[in-house]
Amino acid sequence: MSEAVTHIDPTNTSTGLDSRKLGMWIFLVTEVMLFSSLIGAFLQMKGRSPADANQVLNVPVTAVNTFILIVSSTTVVLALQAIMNGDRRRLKLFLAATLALGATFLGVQIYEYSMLLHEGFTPSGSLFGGGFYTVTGFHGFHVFIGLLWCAGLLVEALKERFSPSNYMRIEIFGLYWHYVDVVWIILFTIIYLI
Amino acid sequence: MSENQPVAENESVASHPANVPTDKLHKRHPNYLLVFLSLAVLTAVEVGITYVPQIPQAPVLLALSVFKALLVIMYFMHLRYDSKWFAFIFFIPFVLVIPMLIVLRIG
Repeated sequence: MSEAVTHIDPTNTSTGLDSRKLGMWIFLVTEVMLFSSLIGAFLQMKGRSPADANQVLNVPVTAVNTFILIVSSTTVVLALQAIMNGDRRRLKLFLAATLALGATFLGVQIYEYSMLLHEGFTPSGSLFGGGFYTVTGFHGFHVFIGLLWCAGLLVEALKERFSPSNYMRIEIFGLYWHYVDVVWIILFTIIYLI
Repeated sequence: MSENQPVAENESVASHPANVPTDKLHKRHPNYLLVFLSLAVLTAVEVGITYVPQIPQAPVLLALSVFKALLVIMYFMHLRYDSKWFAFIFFIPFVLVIPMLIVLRIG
């Protein structure tokens, strides 16, 4: 039996908005609600913990990790700029850099977890500990998903599948990655600094 | 062109009909390196503030982090240049989120 294949143009919509990009923004709205709930729960746990509960955390190391994530956000947007300008070499370079920086961020977070657990700061040891591992764990999981996504895009970029007229998937990945960066900017302040 | 078709290296950029500028993002890119430098400096300032107890920590640090988040949203996520509908959609949940966080923090 033959099947008719219908190609739907995601840019030809009644709103004039690209449906793929619109979908990602709506997804990010749900992510805002998710992380707001987590942050709200964390604030409650922190409020019921001793004022110096976060003294066990390593601020300088995490500040460097925050910087790494900010650099990775910059490389994503430079990758998008590169492919919009038709520069496929820089697209691959910046996607590879994003992958390396994101993996470094995750590696440092795992190292931080191991050090904290070694010092007896466990998820079940205190309210602050439970909140800390839940919020940062959810965020780390989002970084991990982003790394898988970025690796997939890098493979496609190596196969020359992007062009100045075909970059929307890079832009949509960028929206996700920047959002993950935004969440970390807030978390870094709320968890480590205040 | 199909999304999954490899693109020849020598394909002309100008030949793409979709390459005609359709939004402000095509017309000009923000200075991404300036945004990056601002974020890096503000992060260093945040850490520095924690060593100065005379500065009211929570309000200043929260204001700085919100400003950094807005820089990423407006310039890296291009909300400043993209359709206003995306900004409208994205900021809707904050009508609920901000009061919720304030109530939880007070509670």
